[in-house]
Amino acid sequence: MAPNPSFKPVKSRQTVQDQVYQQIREALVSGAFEADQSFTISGLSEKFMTSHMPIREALRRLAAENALRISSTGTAVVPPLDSDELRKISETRLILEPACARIAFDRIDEARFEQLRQTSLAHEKTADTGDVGEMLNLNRAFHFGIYEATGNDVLCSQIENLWLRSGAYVRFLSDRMGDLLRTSYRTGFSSHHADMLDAKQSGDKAAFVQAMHDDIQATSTLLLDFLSETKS
Amino acid sequence: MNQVRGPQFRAIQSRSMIADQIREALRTGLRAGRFEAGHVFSIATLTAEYEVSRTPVRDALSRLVAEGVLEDDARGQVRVPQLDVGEYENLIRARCVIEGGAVARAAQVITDSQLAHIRTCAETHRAQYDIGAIGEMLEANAAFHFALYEVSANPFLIVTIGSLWTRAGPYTRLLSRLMKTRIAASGLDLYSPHHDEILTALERRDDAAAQSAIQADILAGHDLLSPHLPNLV
Repeated sequence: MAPNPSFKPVKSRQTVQDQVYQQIREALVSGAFEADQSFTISGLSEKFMTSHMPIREALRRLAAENALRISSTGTAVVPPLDSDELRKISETRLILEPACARIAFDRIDEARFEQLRQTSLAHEKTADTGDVGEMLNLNRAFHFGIYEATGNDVLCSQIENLWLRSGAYVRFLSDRMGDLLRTSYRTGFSSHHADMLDAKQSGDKAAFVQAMHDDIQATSTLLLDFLSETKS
Repeated sequence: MNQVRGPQFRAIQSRSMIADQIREALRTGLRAGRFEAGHVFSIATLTAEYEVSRTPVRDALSRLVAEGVLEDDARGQVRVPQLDVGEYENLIRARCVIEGGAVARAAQVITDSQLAHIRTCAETHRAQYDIGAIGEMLEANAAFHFALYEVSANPFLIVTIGSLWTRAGPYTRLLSRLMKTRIAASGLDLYSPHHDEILTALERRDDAAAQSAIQADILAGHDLLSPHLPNLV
């Protein structure tokens, strides 16, 4: 069950463009769109109940961020999946996100820790309910809950750009989640989050950073395996 | 897509390509420290400079505003944001993380010919410093840094670093002015030893040493500039 984007009609005139952009961006990050999926400007205009202009502008911005490609006919396409690209996204994430975790570690106060703990518990539970969309949302909430503790919006927005580029990969993984949850993955998928919480509680910064690293690495390895299987 | 709409879309596409080119040119200018904090962009001036209509200029500016690189005020004027020590600290910290990581990666995969190219960049930088050509020196500095990062062959790393440098542009400009007056006043040698340290570390394929040398390089600029920044918060 993949997350389903529910676009809201946009109203306030001044920020129509921003709202459309934000909603499509959000849908891309959350894995609502598949690789190679295409959409037309007129189709999106109907969904958002706006004119073509703000849609075209939003798609152009996303294309400039390499989150979409625009064909010569004006159709937007989600870029295809590519192992080499995924490796490079992961390499970049592995530089930024564990470093962010290191900066965040001492700044996670009790309230934030409690929030992270709740998020982690809810995330674990999605293995029972099979709600993959919710699983992805909670995973994201957990990670950004940590990154935001750095108080560094420059770092956070750079990480978000990488997640934007990972959306179609996330979607690809989520489509296989039903099968995965029948394997040993079911007990392991949230273990790195639990490790992070344990490390924070025992004041072990190195272990906290390592668990963040392992979490990103594990997802990347899993995806690369799937991608090579799909190809062969 | 409806056939009838074809030509219309093509026209808009090319207009958007012009806007993209202007945006890239402004980005490059910002990165090189060509625009001062608070600088107001005049649509009329840019229209004349690039010999285009107002629309792609306006598009390019509004995109840079959306990206947080520029800002617009109540009167709809687009300008370079004011300097702020808080933002600068965040930028420097992000640069240390990502550029440190990129250089560590470079140390693991660099070839001898890439190393030779980077050494040439470092020599150009030093030469510009020696003759006091601060503007050219900044460009040579950027060339040195990006030659390093390109060794990673990772476009995600390079784009991320590029966007940090674009946002840091107005700070770079202030830093260059500061260096100019300091060097003129005292003949002080402000040349950073860190580029040589980076080269030595790369020669030895020592990723940890390369990483700490680049971070020291970034922080050297920071220490020079940071006392001169206003605190807006």
